[in-house]
Amino acid sequence: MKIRRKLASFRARYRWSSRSTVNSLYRYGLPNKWGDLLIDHQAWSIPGVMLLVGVACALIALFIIAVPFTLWEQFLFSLAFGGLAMYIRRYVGTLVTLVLIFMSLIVSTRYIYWRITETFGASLDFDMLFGVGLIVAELYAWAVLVIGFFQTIWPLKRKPIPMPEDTSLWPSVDIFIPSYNEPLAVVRPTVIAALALDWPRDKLKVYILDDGRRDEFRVFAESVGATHVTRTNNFHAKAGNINAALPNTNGELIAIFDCDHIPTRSFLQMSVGWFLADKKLAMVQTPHHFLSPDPFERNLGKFRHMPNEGELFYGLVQDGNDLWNATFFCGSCAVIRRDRLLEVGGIAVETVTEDAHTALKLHRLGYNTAYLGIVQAAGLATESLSAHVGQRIRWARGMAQIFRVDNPILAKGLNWPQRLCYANAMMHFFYGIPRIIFLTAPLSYMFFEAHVIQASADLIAVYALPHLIHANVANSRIQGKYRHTFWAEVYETALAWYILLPTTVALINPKLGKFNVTAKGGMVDREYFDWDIAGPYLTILGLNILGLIFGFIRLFWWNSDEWGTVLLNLLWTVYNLMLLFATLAVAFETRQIRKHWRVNLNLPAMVRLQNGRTMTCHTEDFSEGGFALRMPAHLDVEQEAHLHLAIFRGDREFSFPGIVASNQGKVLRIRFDDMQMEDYQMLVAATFSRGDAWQEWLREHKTDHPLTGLKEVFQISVTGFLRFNTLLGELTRKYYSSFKARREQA
Amino acid sequence: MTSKAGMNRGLRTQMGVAMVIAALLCSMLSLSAEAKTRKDDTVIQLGTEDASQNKVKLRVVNYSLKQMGAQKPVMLRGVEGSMLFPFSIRSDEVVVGAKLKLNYNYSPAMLPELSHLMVMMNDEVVHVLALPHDKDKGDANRTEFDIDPRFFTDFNKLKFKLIGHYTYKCEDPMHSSLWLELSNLGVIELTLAPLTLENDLKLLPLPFFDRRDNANLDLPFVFSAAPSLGTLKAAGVTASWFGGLASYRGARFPVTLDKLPEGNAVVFLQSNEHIGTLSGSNGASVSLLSHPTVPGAKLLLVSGSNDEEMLRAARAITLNHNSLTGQHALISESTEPPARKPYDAPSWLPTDRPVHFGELAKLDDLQVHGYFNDPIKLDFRIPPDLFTWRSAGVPVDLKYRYTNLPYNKSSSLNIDINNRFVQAMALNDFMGDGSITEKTAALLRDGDEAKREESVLIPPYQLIARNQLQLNYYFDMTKEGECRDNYLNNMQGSIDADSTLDFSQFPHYAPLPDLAAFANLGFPYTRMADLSDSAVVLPAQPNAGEIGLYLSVMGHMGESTGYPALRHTLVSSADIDQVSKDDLIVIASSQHQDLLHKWADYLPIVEQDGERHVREPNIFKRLYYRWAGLDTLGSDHPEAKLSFKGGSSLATIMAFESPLHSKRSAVVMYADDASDLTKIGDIFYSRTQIADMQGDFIILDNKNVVNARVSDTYYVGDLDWYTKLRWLITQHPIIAVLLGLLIAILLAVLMYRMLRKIAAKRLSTKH
Repeated sequence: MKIRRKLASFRARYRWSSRSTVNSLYRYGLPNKWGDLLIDHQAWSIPGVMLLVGVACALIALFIIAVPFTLWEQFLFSLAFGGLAMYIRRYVGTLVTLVLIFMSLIVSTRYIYWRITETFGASLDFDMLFGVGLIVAELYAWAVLVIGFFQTIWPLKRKPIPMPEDTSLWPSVDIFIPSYNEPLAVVRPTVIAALALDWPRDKLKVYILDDGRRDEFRVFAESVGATHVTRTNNFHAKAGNINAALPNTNGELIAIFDCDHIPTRSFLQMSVGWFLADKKLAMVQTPHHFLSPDPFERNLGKFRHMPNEGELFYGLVQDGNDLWNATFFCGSCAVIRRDRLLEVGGIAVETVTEDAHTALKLHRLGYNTAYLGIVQAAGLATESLSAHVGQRIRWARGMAQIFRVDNPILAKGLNWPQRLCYANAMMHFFYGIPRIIFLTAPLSYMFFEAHVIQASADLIAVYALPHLIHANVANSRIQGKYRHTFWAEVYETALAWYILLPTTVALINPKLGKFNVTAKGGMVDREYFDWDIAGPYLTILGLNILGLIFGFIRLFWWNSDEWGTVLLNLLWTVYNLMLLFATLAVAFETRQIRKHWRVNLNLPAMVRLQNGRTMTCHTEDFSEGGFALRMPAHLDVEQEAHLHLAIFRGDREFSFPGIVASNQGKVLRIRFDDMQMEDYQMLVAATFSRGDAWQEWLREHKTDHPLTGLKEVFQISVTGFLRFNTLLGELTRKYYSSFKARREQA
Repeated sequence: MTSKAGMNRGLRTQMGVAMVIAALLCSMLSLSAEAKTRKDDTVIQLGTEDASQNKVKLRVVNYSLKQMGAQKPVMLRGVEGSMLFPFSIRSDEVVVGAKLKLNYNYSPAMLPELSHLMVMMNDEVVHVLALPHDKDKGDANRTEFDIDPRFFTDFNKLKFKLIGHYTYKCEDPMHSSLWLELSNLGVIELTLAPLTLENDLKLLPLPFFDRRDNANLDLPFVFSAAPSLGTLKAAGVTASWFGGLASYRGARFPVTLDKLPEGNAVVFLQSNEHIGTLSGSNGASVSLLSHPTVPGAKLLLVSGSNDEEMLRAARAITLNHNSLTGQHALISESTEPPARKPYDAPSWLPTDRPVHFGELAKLDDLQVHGYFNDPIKLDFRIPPDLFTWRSAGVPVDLKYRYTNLPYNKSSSLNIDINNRFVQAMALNDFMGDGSITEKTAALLRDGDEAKREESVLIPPYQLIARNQLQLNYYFDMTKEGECRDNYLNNMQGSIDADSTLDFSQFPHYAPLPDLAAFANLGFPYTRMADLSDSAVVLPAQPNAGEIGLYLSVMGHMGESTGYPALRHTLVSSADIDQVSKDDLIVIASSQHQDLLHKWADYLPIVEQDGERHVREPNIFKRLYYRWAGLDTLGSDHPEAKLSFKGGSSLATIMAFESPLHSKRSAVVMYADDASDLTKIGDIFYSRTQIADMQGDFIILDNKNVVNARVSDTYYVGDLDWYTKLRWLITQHPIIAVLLGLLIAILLAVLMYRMLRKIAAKRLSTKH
């Protein structure tokens, strides 16, 4: 207590007050003030000072990285350094983030240096074999960490530039909506929303690029005023489809939407402004936003509670890339200048990730790309785990192909930051082998007593733990809003096995192989366990459980003399088991029978009953099929009763006929039956294509805390474990009863 | 070798032997004209001038097998197990009677008709012990028998050989029932009679030191009532030489002032000084005289007319004793030997280059023979300040050869350092079932194939100041089955003399004070082998105890380096400023040394109100010492705290950085009572307490040596800046923490400014 009082008086005297900033975990305090003073200090403007300080610092950093410590010294160093990091991470600001990044770089590089120089067996033997694998995996993880820091060090947070008053200066725009086999119901809202974009009518043309060559689509296009474009072949899939449409169209800009990405009406107004400001700008990308949960979110029940993979990419990585002029084209929700696109020969067709490859080609010609982190379109996520896996396999394979065909590190025309950003985007997909190594590394000790790290357990702990802690603290700080710690591990673990082979094969020969898992698509009409997907993991899981048993035997009987090493490997195995069970939890496909996805939306609305009575209320959520309304009081209305719903956008009113689907308490659900095209257009205008429709994006998540992330993953893992146990129980019982029945028959 | 033997022979022809002995010898010679050692003694001068005066004093000594090297009871195994024990006889003594007393026990399974124990003295069988079945059960057998004294020479070999058989039929030569155990407490009792040597300087260091004598060297040094510092320095140089000769035996130089002791002594007198009838002579001279009162005893008189001449005389003894002849030698002039380089002490391993094994051991000692062989041993001393931090090890480039036979599959060469295992090399070129294939046949033909090279790294933490590298050949004995085992004892192994041991990569850098380094190798004073950077500070009028300790210390220095301490400076405490740049050794007793008052602030003990306390290290250091296990003065040893409160019986050694010069050392040896100074000297004399000399503060009482860490650490030596920086940071990880934070902040600020600029450029609309 005395100390606390003293501290308080000390703080008071030196105005060391720390107050939390609004909407932030972090405080603003004296370190921030000092930081600001330091950043804008006059000394930096003396020529040469920055270079001198930078070189000196780099030399000292190398020295600290290479200085060897004993166990005790390293422990003290880690404790003090980690303590400092923990202290300053409570303060807000980019500078603090940068300090944490550099601290992490020092500690992590120190760890890697130690691993390479001190823990590598000199002789080429059994241990060494495993050791090399592990160290390569660790080097990979380290490289991804470092380049990742670089990539996301300063998200640009680009704002839209307003269009000039004079609409004659506005460029003409073609909207491309490629489709192959999707049902019209999926494409229809997209086309309607595209037609409703705020843009001079004479400068906007909407093209449905129909590779299915379906009459239904032609009729629909004609009825709404879009152009139906077809070609005679289906070469190169989507890329070929777009390229085939290029000669037949003539807009200065081309906006491309996947057929299920419904744009908001402000899409062009927001994104085209930068083309007028920057003549070298070739492409503007906006985020992909999903109305429905991806299989991970759905199967784990984490939709909207936690950021998904896409949010890290669109919330942070692309924004970070933008600083280095390395924003990638993502195939949809983007605007491209036609002349630039033609200059690179249209959309790239050499690889299966045509989008990123196209951007790479644009960058190589010295053109700029930009990223606008404002959601201007929304679509549906992949439905099933197998489809999701298939999609990721395609990305991974494509990236590996680009790495071979058009290696960004060697490619001419790129500057170094661009090379690094591209390299990281590609390297990211090579996590297959390292991840599998991490999942099995402790087993080499458990089964064969191979010492993969030639150091004592306590020494490994004092070197590796600080590395992990610093890296996670820094990453959590940078990515907290967009990714929760340890979740990425679950995502990667689930996909590792599947992208391992495609990336490896593509690296060896980019033309070889087709590894798409059949997309099952559509609705998941019953709960089931995806044995195909989980298969490899069940094997690894089984090995790990066996390893755990071996570990305990080693701990108490076989290797009780080196219990530290056994314990370390046991802990590692337990961690791996946690990830594996979480992966299993993902493989339990939950039922997904909803036809249209509900989207939360809070708008003023009015209900008019058939008896003329009106009542103002607010919308709660909506889908293409209906609305949920929150009434001020329970409304006495029958189920299946007809009524009118009016929704307001600004001073414009949209009114639809509807039927009461349910009426419970203050929540009234309204269903639309057999909508007319006009009503439908109105519905889309009032909902999906509202300019502010997806503003709430990213605001729904709690900011990350590493330990919370761990807790969540642990909970999911326990769920996975319990469910899998139940499943096994059921299977055993089923098998047993059929066995019994057969015996009775016999 | 031949010259020495010749010397001995010549010596014996002229010696005056006491009558009794002469008679004895005569009878022996008449008995055996073949008596080996004394067959040249054709003239035994009976009735010389000495013989009539005195009765001969016979001396009886016992050498146990343990003293001769058997640390454990001796086990003889196999059909022909044998063991050899060497011992030597002083050259001024002769064996007149010898008796061997043995305790032994043996396997009851051996056949008495065939089995026996042979005892051999210098390869002659002197006794055969039968091994009957009806020995005393439960009790070890004892036996005593005389050995003919004629079999003894200066250097003797006592050998036991078991001839054991357990069956008349074919037998396993290595059968486990073939054993005989000799207690290592068995002794050889020698009756020795003195021989009077002539007064000739060419015998030096005889008769004052005899390398045949394994006992400690006790050599009185005699001075006039008030010797000058120069005289004392000459004595110090001489003492260091004797210390070096005594080596492992330990040396002590009791000092008598103005009086001759009863026995051999070294006397230092300037020309104007005299003790009784003995007086110094003019000019630097060395004389070998008979003791005026004690017959048979000799005096070595070192004299000169001034300090310089005294030193010249002493230098002549230490460096040129081989060229001194006659009773009296005048040293008219002598050139000083060239200055030494740091760390070049002759008994230290050179650390500036790889050292060949041939420099460390004789060729004969680098090879072994037989299935049961002693390890090849290489002794070497290394400077205590070698900086082996972060080193993988000391490289040993080993070239070795061995008998390479197809059936010795499990043979190995094991390497130990200081009895700690380092590495083993398999000596099995023949893998598989042992059949000779074409390849192995080729190996046999080509002898070079059995020569191997191996690089071995000796872990630095197992190295101490005095080391022994042990190379042990183990040869596999394959059992072929009954009646088929005949062991041809042809197994041999050798280490090539051009194998190397390389310390050249290690810089010299060490934390001091460290009394362990001082006790082991006189470090840091012995950095220069001639002690040219060192000074000894004595009180203004040193007493015998102080001089004695000074001589002991010098003896220790000479033992440590193998080179006399020719260039050390000896000053009285008043003149300490002359040697302010040197490493200092301060010797004092009973408040005799006013320096102790002057340096009171630096000493680890403080005097308050007549009571003395150990200066407590400050809290951080105390914690550090506690953690490092160095705080022996902590609560574990309360008696140590009490022992100097009494105030009258303190004897202590204190080491700290010289108050006069940084990076220089001071070691203070102090006792309240001058007679207690011998306790300090005895550490170097008996050498049993050397291991207790640690830390920087030592208190001696009658039994124990208590040590502690009290003073501040300082470093001597040089490191390149990069290593030094790394070392510094390793010592203080907090520096790394603060530096790390500082550069993280600075780099963050730089990065912030750069990124802010890039971002502004990216977002500017003026393209």
